[in-house]
Amino acid sequence: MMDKTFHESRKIRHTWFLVLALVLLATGCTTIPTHYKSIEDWENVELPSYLYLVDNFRTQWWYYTGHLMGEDGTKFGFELCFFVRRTGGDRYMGIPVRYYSNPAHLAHFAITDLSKKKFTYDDRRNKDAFTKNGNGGALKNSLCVWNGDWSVEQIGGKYYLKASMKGYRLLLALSPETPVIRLGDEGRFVKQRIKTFDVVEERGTYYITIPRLKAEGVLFVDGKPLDVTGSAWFDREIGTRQLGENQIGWDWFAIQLDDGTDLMVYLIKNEDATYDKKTSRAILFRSDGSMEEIPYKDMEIIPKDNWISPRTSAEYITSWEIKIKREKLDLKVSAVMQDQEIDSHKSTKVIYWEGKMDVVGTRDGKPVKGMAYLEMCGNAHPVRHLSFNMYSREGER
Amino acid sequence: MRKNIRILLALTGMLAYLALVGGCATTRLHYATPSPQEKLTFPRDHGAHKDFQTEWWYFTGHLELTDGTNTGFELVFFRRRTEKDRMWGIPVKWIAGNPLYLAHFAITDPSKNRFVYSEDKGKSPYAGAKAGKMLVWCGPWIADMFEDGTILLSSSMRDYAINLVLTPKRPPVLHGDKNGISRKGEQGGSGYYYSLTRMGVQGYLRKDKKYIKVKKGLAWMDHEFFSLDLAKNLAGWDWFSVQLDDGTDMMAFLLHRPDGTIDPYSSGTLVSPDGSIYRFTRDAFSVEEMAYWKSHKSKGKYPVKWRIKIPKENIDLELSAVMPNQELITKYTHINYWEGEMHVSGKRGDKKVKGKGYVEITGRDKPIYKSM
Repeated sequence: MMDKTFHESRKIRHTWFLVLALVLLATGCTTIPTHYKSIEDWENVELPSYLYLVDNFRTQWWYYTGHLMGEDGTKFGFELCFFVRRTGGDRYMGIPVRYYSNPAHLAHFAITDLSKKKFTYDDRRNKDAFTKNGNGGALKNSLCVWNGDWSVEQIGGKYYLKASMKGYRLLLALSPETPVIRLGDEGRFVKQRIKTFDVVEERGTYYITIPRLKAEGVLFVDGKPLDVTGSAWFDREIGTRQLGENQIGWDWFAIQLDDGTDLMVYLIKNEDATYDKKTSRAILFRSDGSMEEIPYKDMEIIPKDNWISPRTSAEYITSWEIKIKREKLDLKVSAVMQDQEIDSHKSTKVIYWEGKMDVVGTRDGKPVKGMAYLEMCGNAHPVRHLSFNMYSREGER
Repeated sequence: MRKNIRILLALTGMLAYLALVGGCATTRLHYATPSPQEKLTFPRDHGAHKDFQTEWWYFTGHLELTDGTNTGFELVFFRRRTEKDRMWGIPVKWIAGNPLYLAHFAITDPSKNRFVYSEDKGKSPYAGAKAGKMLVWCGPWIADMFEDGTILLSSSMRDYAINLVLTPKRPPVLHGDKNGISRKGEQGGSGYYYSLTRMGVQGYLRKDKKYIKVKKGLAWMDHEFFSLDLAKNLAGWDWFSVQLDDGTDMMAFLLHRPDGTIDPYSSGTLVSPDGSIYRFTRDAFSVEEMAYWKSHKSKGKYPVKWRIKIPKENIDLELSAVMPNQELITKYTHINYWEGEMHVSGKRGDKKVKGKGYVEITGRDKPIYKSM
């Protein structure tokens, strides 16, 4: 008996020593070659395979936002997103993150509850399923991503979302009402373009979207089931270096108008509080299926009101006017609640604002209404330094 | 020391009070019973019927996975009104809640020669069921029907999880009589009983943390609600569901009486490929037990091979268990039963047929009236 204990404790000590030696060796001596692919590799964004897990990119995500109405008329907004992060080259306090898990799985879930005037969110991190105690993963042959008991799964032609947190549990089926659309240049979405003599350097992501999905399901509020219906928006981005040196974040609008038009506005923020004029843009998805990209110069973005977070002191614009003259579009986009700020300290370590918005305005002189989601990041801190990182090496995001 | 005595006294007092109240309070309560005037309408009656004492939604199915393996699953939700139930003389509604929900989840994985199961129980809001539409849950386990009639079935345990979408290929099949009123024995009363006998399955199986896509599958749902004590006059029952490749579906059950005979109200329903329904009674079918497996845990001896004949329809089928050990020893429902995935082969007329099935066997370790 004693013998065994002695033997075991020696074994444990031995293992610890080995681990320590390995860590020191790896952190001190070796650099791990991590050549992740980026938009500069000009990959073909093939469908549907780029909806599924794609290998050898640093960061990729599946992002669902939407608007729900309960059978009793109560209204909700939701955000559920899954990130897969390749951690080769990432370090946390000097230690390679890949020892934790490569890839790592991160997820955010938020509910904007209008009847209670309450914004609730949660975020989580999980090791990959193939590591010990890992409970996150994604499939390469189907859209199926999970992070513990949160998941999105394509079954038949629908996407099923599942997530729960304190006070809320969501179970949704999303049916696409538009095709899967590749944004930018056949899915290649450039966020920064720098030309030095003949050399063009580009930053960005591969970007796929489904701007309108019909939502149906159940939202449990404090354990009580509520049948809900509504609409959702899906974004899928895959990238390795998605922002440039002087860029700190973005403002992203996903607008769904009652007349069937969807509008995405993607504004990339520079350090000097301006937007990148070359790459910021809007994309209009008409109800007849046609699509149009509108450059930044053809838009007018007017901040109307702001809110300062009492927790982070970050300032967010919560009311906007967006004018696109050539489309005769004039929209006022305002937050349904001021405080929809998320501090994802448990997962991606980003402080950002992502919230449900009301939309009113005119199109062709006629009144139009709608709903939107707005994401603002870079307001509390440049996303460059912290995005997905605890981890990131300088200059790689 | 004195403090201990005081606690002891307080406990004794409390127990005495519980026994008194529990023993004396006879609830004059009448649960609903089936009536021929009450026609089942769907999707409403997929939902819960809270005036009935007992209700269950019983899902079984067969998955063909993209990795080339096959898996059977059982997921069942029970709802029970507990006003009249007692455990050690204490009303169950005080201990466990009212209504009380119970759930079983089992996986038959022949590729790993594994049969694993898990159970759960709870009361609102941890568990619940909605009236008017199918939504029933017990913790994270859930069945939810969407507007288009598809059912999302989600359940997980340590090594396995299912996330499935079931698409009914047939309207609900009503058992017993044309109103779905099914009699449970000569001495017993009746309850509502119908099935979704043929549902396509899509989705995923999680196996040892790995998600595997379902290539195709076939599922069955039984929905029953009644207000009678099944165990009172029965020693056990055998229940069969069969889905043949030619589109034939069959349900049959045998009720075993305490004296060892088979109750004349044992019955079944046959759905032909064209959808026509034949409800048959005890004299129209025969069931033969061909081989057995003995459980080391419960000492129950379960048939694992059966032969079922319906002479009038020229049906002659052999059902053999995919694996012999598919026994569930349950804590919360206080019952041991065998519920297993079956291979089916045989003949209909001159034509060879094959398919899949599920069999449930109760009361083989001890009569069921002693379990409940």
